[in-house]
Amino acid sequence: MADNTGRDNRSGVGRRDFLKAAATTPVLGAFGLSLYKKEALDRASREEVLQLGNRPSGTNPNITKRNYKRAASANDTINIGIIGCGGRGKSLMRSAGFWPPDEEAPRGHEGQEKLNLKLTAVCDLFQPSVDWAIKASGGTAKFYPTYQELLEQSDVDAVVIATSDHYHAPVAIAAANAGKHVYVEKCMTKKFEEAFQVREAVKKAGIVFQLGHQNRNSDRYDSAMEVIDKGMLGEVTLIQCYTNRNSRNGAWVYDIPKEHGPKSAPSGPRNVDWDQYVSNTVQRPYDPNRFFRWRCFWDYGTGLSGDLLTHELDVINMVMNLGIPTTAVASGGIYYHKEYTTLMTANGDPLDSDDPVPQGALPRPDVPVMRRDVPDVFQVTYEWPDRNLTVVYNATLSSEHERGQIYLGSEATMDLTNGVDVFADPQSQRYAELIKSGKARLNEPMISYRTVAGKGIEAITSATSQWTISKGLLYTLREGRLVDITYLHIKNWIDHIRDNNTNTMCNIDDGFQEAITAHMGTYAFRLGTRVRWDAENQQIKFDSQPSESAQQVLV
Amino acid sequence: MATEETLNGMLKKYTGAQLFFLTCMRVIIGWHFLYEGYVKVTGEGWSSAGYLNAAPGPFAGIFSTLGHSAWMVGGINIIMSWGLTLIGLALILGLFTRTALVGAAVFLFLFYITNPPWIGVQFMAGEGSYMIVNKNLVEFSAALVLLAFPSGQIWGFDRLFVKQ
Repeated sequence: MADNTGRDNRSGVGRRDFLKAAATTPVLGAFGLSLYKKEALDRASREEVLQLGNRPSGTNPNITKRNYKRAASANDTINIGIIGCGGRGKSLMRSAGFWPPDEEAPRGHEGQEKLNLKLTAVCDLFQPSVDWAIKASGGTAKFYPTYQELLEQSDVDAVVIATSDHYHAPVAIAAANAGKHVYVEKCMTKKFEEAFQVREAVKKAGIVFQLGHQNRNSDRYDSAMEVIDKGMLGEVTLIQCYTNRNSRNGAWVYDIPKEHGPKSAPSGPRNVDWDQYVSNTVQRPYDPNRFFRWRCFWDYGTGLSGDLLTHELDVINMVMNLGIPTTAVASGGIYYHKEYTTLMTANGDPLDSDDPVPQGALPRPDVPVMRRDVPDVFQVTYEWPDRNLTVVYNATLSSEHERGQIYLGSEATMDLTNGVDVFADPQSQRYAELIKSGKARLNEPMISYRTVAGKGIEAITSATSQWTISKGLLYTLREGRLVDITYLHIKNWIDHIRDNNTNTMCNIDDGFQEAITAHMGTYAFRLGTRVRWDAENQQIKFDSQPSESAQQVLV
Repeated sequence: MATEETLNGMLKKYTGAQLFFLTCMRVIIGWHFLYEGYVKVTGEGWSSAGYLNAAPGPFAGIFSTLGHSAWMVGGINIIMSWGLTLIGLALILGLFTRTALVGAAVFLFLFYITNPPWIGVQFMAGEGSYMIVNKNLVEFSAALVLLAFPSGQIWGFDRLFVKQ
């Protein structure tokens, strides 16, 4: 074998040595050249694609709202009160920076800017939730048995309202009248008229209002709005959206605590203020199903329309700047979760509704058999004739198959299932050249934004663009870090309070549109008629006038 | 000069074809690392957080803990992006080849166990079909082969700086 080291030992580093040492260096040149070509091509196709939009950008006013930066440097402590501190209320408090010392900190908390809030007041109708909030506040929060008393306090600047839906409007109106800033959970109101009343009260008081559609903060919508804004999809005629869930918790059959009972009872835990709970709706005797699982009943909740459809319709409204639809038609029913018996173990320990049922399980004597009255399968079709657009929403609470939020346009389709994917339409005229030249492929997105994966490359493997935080409901990406979007939504509200600016991420006009849209779906379903929105007269109209008895269901 | 002789003694055993293909393999792995590093250094919004959080398999808990710490993620992102870039450059140039190969092997081993295609593990799917062996493992083995058969001292800058 030849000595192919060729090392010249006599003269140190010789010319031959240097040439051999640098033998592979030209590869770097080839790398650089390839990189330049690739970047130029990628840049060209992205720009080429973006230029093919048919609209000037900046037509959607919602875009500027998304880039809000706080103006005021003042960072005075803001005193907040929580009204309704059950499941969602606790999540909101955790995102705002309050949790009891024996609980783990929320994910991603350590890197977040502190909001400088003080939790000074709590009102809830279930005593253990009150205790939780006081512990979470570090002992600073005081308990008020009614929201009216809480709103009288001078050490409350702003309130977070996370009650059952039937209290959203009464509390929000009273809070606005008392000059308190309001963060209220969706659906903004339970009733149609209440949407007008809340809007009026909030505008009159000039308070800073935020509706709890936190998923507006997901960064995928920046890209989605850019795509729509530039008109890249051509004419969008149909948008399809959905909710699929398949667990009892997902179908709002929540756990019922072991210790519960109305205050008015002569004995027992007496920890539920049932009388106040039903004071603004149908009077019924105490039923824990109706208190702890309120979303399953029209008396307190807004069903699939107000609860889950609004997540979809609200962001579609933001992305497309649609406003209230002209018509709504709906159908559905209780297909699957017809009846539910709450169980306990043979020892009398409560079982969660999704727990496996052990041998010897028994019905709980303290919880009656539950029969929901809101549908678990629901479909609604909204139309915007002036925009030549239909939006179809459908939901089932007995399947968890993912289907996506899909915008179908004449030139391209945008799918927001895992981020933003824009596919050229096979029959597209505008993208025909790109398709022909191979710069756009039909089975691959022409443009793709990933919420968390950045450019879709995670590690030295190609397996990685696959995962995502599905639907962007919990986390989004800010400067490369996962951030809790509920925190961002609360921060947006607080920043606007400090700046005295009412144009929040989901402001009162967005909230009004959300509530009317949701109620049109609900009314169409419950009254079995097409519901119309008369934008000029700000009125709701029915194609076939429902009888008075039918209209009773809406009270 | 004993070291020199031993080194040369071993190197002498390469045929021209062996040396050529070993160098090719080193440069190709270097190219792969350099580009993966480059897109991470220059890519807006790239983060290892999601990958760590989505890691399946027996070590999922450890990676998820790392992925949920903003501070750890920040450090990992810097190590990943610059580590890959520097290893890539080193392998192409044949400079500090041994160190770069050890680094490459460590990275590849970590990539392998964050998403192991083991039977019964719900690993993240990519292109191709895998059972226990995937491309990370193949590239990991290749890095070990290059450690056992060095070429940087012949065709590479290690020739000038190492063991003179």
